[in-house]
Amino acid sequence: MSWSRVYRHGLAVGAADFRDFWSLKSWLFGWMLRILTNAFAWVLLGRVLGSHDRQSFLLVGNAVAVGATSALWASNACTWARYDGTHPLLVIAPSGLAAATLGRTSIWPVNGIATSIATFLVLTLAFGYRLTVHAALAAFPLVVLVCASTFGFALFMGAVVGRWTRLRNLALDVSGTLLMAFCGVAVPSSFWPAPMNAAVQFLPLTHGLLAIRGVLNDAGVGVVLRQASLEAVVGASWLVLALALMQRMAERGRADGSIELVV
Amino acid sequence: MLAIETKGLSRSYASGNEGKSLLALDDVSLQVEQGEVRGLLGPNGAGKTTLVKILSTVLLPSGGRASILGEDVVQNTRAVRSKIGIVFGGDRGLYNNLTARQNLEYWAALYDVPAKETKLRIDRLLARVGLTERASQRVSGYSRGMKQRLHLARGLVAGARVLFLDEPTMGMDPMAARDFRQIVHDLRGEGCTVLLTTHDMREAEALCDKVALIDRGKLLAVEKPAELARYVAKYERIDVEGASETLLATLRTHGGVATVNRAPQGDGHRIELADGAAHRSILALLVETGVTSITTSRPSLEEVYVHLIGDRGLEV
Repeated sequence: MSWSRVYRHGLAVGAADFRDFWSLKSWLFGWMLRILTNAFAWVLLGRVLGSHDRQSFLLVGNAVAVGATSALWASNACTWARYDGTHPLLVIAPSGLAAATLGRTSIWPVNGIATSIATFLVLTLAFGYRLTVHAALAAFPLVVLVCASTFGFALFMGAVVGRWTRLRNLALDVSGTLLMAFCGVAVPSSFWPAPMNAAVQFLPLTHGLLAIRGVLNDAGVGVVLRQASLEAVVGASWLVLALALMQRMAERGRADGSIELVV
Repeated sequence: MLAIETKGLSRSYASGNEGKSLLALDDVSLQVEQGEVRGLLGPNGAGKTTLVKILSTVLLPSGGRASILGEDVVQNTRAVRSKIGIVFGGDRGLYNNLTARQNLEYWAALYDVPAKETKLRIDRLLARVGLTERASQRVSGYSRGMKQRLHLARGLVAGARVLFLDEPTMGMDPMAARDFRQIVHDLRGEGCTVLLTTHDMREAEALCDKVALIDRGKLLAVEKPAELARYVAKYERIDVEGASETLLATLRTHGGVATVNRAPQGDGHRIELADGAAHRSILALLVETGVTSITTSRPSLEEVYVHLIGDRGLEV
């Protein structure tokens, strides 16, 4: 069985979905304009507060978070096989559901990376944020890591809403809000009560964002690597859980008939 | 070895919130020989699709056993999946944003068709289903018939030995349906076993070696299509308008007439035959007595069931 071959073809399906969703023009002047407007509002809020540090904190936080929230769209894309009727056919295909789903949804973290980098670039230029080439090069793989770990989380959410598809937009909005509010984007996660702070340690973005802030603030390699490793572990854990749940849901669907439901 | 075998197969679904269950398949036992085209004929909701979905491992049975080429559909799911192809009717099950070729390449990868063989196999399949010229066009621009032919190519891309066709010509125009049936006919010549669900009796007659009649989850009978056609012809009915009471009385005692009743629609009467041989003499009698509004028709599938099962003294 060629897992990579299925993944590659799944990726082509995802790319076709994406092209159906966005043209270059609508991506630039619809999607990015919306993202940038939102990010500008946050960074301007930092400027209104009169603190350069706060402004920088909000700029970095938002530039990374938009990538993560874009990657969350993979949860929504997990349900599309239900709508186009391919889900039961994928379940019974010998190569299985996992490679096909991973392939089809992988375009969304890629969109997240592009969104995050573009936002970073525009905000840096607009607000005169000082960013060295060295720091930018070091931050880039960490942005990729954040989008990848959020992808793992998104697949888990997708496995859940695959059974209750009408909740897909709610799940996307709730999980996006959760990441934006509690994972250290506008305020450090330590700002929140201890139980909440403890909980967000298990969410994507939290550690990755700390690693990126560490790179940009010269926090030291040890700190950056530790946070990056935690982000990778969180993302990988969600991915493993997602694949297991996806398989479980498929088997349960065969038993209770929900394999073909779109509810 | 049988291509398809079921013993006491049943499937129930949870219905509503009261914990009630709905029996979709009830104790179905079926044997299909290799290379046979078997029709599964029944009205909507009869259980045909549920049976196909269990045999193709989409659904698990609630009870009984089923096997494909000797492999149990519950125990040896993986082995079964490598031997079957499934084609659902309708628009769903394809990637509309991809071309036909890309769709087939994807399914070939999913069924682990060796990469070296894939192109040649897809070229042949596209030619077979008449889509070579449109192979590079996005499926979203396809007609219903073209999508259905692509569905069939998808079902065949892995070299299935047993093919399940679930209402494959549903919604097709007559020409497209005819072409589709020709392809199925050709498959039979190549030794592929086909289980075809339909509620179109003529389709079943045209394609199938045998037809299994199913209703309300129960397998009612297995007949050869010729036998089914005989029943259809036997129970033909004649709707007339303007027949006098005297003529109606004469018809009621005429040989080969089962019943004479008010027609379900309009002001006329319906004459139901019990013997197709009486058809000609009754038409002659009607014309001789000046009746000019005469419509003949064949019974619906449900009516054939009633007659068929009623004749055997079974309850439908």
